Amino acid sequence: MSDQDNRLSGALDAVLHLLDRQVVDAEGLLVCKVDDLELTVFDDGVLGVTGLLCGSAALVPRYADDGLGRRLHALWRRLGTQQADRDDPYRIDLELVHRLRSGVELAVGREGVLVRQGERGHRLNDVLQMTVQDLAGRRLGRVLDVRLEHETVDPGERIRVTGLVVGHGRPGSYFGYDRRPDMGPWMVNRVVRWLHRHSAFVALEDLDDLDWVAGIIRVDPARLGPLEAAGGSGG
Amino acid sequence: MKKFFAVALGILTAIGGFVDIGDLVTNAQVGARFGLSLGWVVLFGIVGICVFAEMSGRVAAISGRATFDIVRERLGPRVGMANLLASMAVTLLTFVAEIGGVALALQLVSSVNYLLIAPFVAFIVWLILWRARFSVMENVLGLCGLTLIVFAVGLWQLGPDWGSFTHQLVVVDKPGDEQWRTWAYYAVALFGAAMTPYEVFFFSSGGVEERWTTEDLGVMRANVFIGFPLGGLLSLAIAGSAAMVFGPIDASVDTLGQVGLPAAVALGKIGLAVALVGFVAATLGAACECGLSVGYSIAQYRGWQWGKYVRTQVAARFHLVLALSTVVATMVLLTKVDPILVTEFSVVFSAIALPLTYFPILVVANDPDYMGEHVNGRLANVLGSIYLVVIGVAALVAIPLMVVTRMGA
Repeated sequence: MSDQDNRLSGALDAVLHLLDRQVVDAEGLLVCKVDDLELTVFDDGVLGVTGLLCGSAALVPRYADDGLGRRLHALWRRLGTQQADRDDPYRIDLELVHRLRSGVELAVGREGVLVRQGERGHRLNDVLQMTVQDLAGRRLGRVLDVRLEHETVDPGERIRVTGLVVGHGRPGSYFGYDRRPDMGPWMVNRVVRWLHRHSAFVALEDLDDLDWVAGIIRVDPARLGPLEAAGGSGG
Repeated sequence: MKKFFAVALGILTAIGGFVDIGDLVTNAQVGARFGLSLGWVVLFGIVGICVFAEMSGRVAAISGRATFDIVRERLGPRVGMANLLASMAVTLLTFVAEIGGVALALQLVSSVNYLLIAPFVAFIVWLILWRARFSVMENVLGLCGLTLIVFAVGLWQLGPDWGSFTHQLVVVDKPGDEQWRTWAYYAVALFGAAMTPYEVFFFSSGGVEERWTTEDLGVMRANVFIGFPLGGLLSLAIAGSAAMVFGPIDASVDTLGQVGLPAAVALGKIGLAVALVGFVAATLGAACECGLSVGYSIAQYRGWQWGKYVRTQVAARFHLVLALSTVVATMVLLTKVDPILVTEFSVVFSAIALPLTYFPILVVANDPDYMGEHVNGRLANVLGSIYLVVIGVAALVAIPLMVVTRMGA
């Protein structure tokens, strides 16, 4: 996982560069989409990405951040109440990923690569559906993206979460204009950047609290910094 | 020499593949009622489809991602799903119209009711989608579609007043007995017929099928910038010859037979026969493209293996979607709904659905993460922005115009 062409070897934004991408196997056959990502707290307390999640069990909860989506999720579960693993997505360990370009390329063939392995960590979607509040509990917005960075540790290497992109979650948050001031066309750039003028970056260690159960992140607004492309200008 | 042949073949199939049932019917209807006074919309629409297709072809060649990959990646699963449902509804409607078009054309030949022919046509379409090689399908039907040039020859034989035609094209005006709102409604319909979304789903997915790379950009652009405009000229020829035949007698075009009549008037039986071959090839080709587009789009949204570049059993879900959508389209057709009416609906709804896929493609064509150095240049972005506004306006006014004009009545 270290060649130049591989986005996973540097800094990247989980939603902008990895989520919803096509997964392709070693022979170029299509496997699935990155419907969600598995986040794990490592032994040393670092939060990192450990796997790709896919299948309906990963996708359907992502619709559920409003009333209609939650009803859809409930309906989908009702279709299989007898299945103990209904909510258990297919998991592809990050070890199996060869590299990330416009799609995720696996190092193995697709035959039998999708295995249900139980809920092992958190999901990226859990973070994306969290509310961000200031220390007094006033709503600042929501998490629009999660910044990741490749790091070498002993033994091996891993992808850790370095910070969050926080904003109001208006349309166009997946377009990347908030992180690329120079991206055209001019008209679209102006509109989307204006809609996302409140978007900001906060480093993970600057968060006061990340409550997985309540789904609330607390942060001092003074800690919110300007939003730049992952890995410096130009990404 | 081989390269030259490949480029020429690509251009020829682009010409033949450009015209579908929507173009045939809408252009004949508009020609009969408005002469060439709406011809500028066709020209404007051709430039639009060139801009859209070039961007999506470039995105496909550089990033290897087709339209609905992009839609899901940039809009997320929720908005992406809404987008998919709307786009597939329109594409299925077009699919119904195309199968109906083939059946109507065969009815003109055989005098057998199109309802009896339609299931056989659908079966042939499915067989092509299941068995035929991608290049064979595209080339054979595209080349046969070239016979629609008979309308250009017919127009020339009818000996129109070219000066008056040119005048109608360049001046914004309408015939005295038509209202401006009807004129506007048909402008949107013509625009939707020229810029049908499935053409781009098919084009970009086809690029991925044929494994385009940076080296193929030149050939792709030649196909788009030469083939599509020449195909668009066929549309204009259909409108022009309908104007010559139906304009003076104030008749309207309501059947596929009337669309072909100018060829018969100008060139006799032979003209009509050639036109019918063209109808069958053009609509059959478009039916295959529509059916594939449904399969491509749904598979791309869910990440399933799609494409005819792999063996059928490797892309089983994709082929299941193809078979089911063909069945659904046939069932709709067998309700005795008028295929011409379905066509009229499909072109207007195409105009409505267009921004849904145009916008994400425009964004990604500008994203260096996907495109590297091949991001949109200044010209592509100026044109892209102009068309973004026009497409948006056309989508917004389409339904109000449809209501107030009672579908152009």
